[in-house]
Amino acid sequence: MRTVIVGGGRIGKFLAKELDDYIIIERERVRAENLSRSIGDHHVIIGDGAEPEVLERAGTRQADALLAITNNDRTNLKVALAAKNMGVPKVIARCNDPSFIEVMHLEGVDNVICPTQIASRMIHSTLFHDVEEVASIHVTKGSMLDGTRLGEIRSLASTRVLGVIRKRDILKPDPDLAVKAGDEVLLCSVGGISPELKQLMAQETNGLLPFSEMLVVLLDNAQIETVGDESLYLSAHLGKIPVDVHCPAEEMPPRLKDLAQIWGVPVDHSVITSFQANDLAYLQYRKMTKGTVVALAPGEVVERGLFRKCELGKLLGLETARVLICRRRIPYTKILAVFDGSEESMDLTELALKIAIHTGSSLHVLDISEMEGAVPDLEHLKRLGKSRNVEVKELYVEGNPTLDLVALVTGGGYDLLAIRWSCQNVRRDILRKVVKDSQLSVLLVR
Amino acid sequence: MDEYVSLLIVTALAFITPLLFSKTRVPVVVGEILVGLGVGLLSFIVFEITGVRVIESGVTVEVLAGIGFIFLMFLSGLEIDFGKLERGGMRTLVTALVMLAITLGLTYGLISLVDSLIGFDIDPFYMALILSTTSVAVVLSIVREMHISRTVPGQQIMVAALVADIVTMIIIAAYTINIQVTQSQNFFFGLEAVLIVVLIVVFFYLTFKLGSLAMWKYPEVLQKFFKLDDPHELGVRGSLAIIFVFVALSTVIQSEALAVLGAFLAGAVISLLFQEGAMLGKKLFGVGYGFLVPIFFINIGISFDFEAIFSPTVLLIPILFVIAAISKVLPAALFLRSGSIKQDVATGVLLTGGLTLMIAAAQIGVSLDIISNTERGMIILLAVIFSAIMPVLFKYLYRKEEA
Repeated sequence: MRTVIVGGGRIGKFLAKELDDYIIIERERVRAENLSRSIGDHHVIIGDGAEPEVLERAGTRQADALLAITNNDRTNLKVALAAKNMGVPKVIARCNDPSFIEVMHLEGVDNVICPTQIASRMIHSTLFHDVEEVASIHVTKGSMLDGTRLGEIRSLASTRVLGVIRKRDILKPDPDLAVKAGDEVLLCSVGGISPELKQLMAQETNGLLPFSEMLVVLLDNAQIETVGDESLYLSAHLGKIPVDVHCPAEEMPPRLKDLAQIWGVPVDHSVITSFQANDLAYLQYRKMTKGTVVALAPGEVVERGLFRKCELGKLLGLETARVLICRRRIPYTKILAVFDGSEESMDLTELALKIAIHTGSSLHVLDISEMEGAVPDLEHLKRLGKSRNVEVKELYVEGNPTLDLVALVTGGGYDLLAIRWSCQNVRRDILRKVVKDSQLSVLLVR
Repeated sequence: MDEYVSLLIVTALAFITPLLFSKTRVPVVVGEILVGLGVGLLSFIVFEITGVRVIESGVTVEVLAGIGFIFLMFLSGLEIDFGKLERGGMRTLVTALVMLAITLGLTYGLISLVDSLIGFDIDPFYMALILSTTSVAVVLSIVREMHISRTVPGQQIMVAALVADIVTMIIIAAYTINIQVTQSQNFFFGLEAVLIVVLIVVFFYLTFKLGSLAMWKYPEVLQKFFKLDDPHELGVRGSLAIIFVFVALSTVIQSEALAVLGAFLAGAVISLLFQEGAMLGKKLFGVGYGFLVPIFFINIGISFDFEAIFSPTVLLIPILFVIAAISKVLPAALFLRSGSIKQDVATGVLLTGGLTLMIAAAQIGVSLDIISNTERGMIILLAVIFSAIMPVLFKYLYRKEEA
């Protein structure tokens, strides 16, 4: 049986192993070349399966079946219809979005497969009769579950694992499968959620803490209200993480002491001179880990040099640096994160989401990457936000990324902006101005 | 021939060319020149046999080609990604400048040597400038296509191309204005030239500063310029106005080089202001590459002086090809130090020869009598050869090294 497969992703590759006479059409050259290496050149065509001439080239007219299984529902629909017109006896289309299934049927595609729907039916059938509660745990980076095998999770939670949602795929609950950050583990238990499962979920919430300590560096004591208040507020909401205050004052300012007491935040104080505070080696000496956030006042951003290399830039040269420029915009109600398509900005968006979860604010993500279509990793953050009652809204660039960012920063009513210091697609000098002159607090990573 | 008929021929050719060359690896702009050359050759043969000129580019086509040329330079400026220059850092920038200086010196030395041996009557410095150019558009598209734009060698290639583009453009303008001033022997013309250059620089600076201020103060107003559904196409209108302010300033002293630089600066200031202004860029590229620029390139082919092929000047092509290749590959091999000499050589190969700037410089050279019409023809052919061969050679060398 000759089969044409449009879309050389994981499913396509998996199917290929089950078939004898088949050809895979893949649009992305790198992926196609990888496929060619693993299954052979004669089984792969590089091209857009939505183009009739590519389908012709793949011999679709002579095929017994065609599977349209790309990540894009519209492409799958287009391919399926083209194949039907070419007289292929069996045409199957993959539909990722359940609400699009009806559209596919209306357009004339008879066989539509929706992985999400299948998973939910599987869960329902498994739950039938004996199961009362279904829980899901989002695995976060560095959390206890990150890297744990499903078998261990099952024994830890004394519960049954139904499956794992990874990006858009549903994985079978293989005991040896190790879950990783971004995964959603579906669990069910008979007779209510077990105490073990409850404990596991609580531990995962702790895993959602964005920082493990706050390092407040002040050049002059007058800024204590700006930086101190915001740092303590954050600590109070982030599981009372320790706050380490470094300022020129001999004693910790009384206001800070009082606030720390009210919020029950552990605060430590040490005296530093302005010179020391300015000295980046001092911060490096502090051996910042990824869990440390350095809280600074806006006035501490120093600019100089040909490309206006500033002290902040140097500090952010450290891979581990997370810097919060405080403007005392507390309590946080609206957070804006900027996603530029890089891995670092994805981590930062996750960090912003964790802050939103703990402070009860909403999160808007401005997508300035040039990627087409929805970014799968952002989808998982949306799911995580939804499960924690945080509204995660994606904003798209309408024309110019820099302008859209400035418009949101100056008129969007946000309290915190999370952005990369070397953010792609935004004018560098404008980004510096946003950090230096805007009215909101800014969380920066490299 | 009726104006509209010649316009019809050119626009029809502009429509057909991308279809003809879609299956080949030849860049479409090169295809446009080749198609123009084909039609021009046909017309030349018919003229030689019958004495009748069947195809002529009329006034309308000439005017549109002229605007196309200005627009092309504007789009070249628009393609300058200043973010890349900055992200590359000082080291990459200095390396690119040193490489360009050595290329210029080497080209100048080799051309002078050949000139003294064979006796070509060419201005060695101007020819060195022409050969030191790089085609940013070709380089960027190849780097993107090979997915190396975010790698260190990729960054270096792009910065080297951008630097070569900007610096040679400025030197060409300065050199030709100097020639104009010397030729005029008029003190006031010299003063006027200096004044206009200062005015252009001031206008560039003011546009950038005011634009930046407006971006910060009134982002919502400026956002309208970039929206896809803006019925008045404010962004396109504003950009056109900026182009012609620069160009009009330049024409005060009748300097084509300055007009070209002006259009280039207009593109550069918009790129500097609105880096990654994808939507506006797309619209402007639509206007340029959809209508005006193809007319310019096809017209170059049609108005090519075919008699030049039968003159000894044709010997210039292989000689200049070798000189340009040596002068680009050697500095790249010496200074890039990516860890692989073959990769460095490949970079030098890709940086060899600019398409648009070579043609622009040739055009300006003819208008100032620095180079002859025949030499211009040779430079155009050389530009076509560079653009067709070098990217393919680069891919071969680079991939081979990666494998």
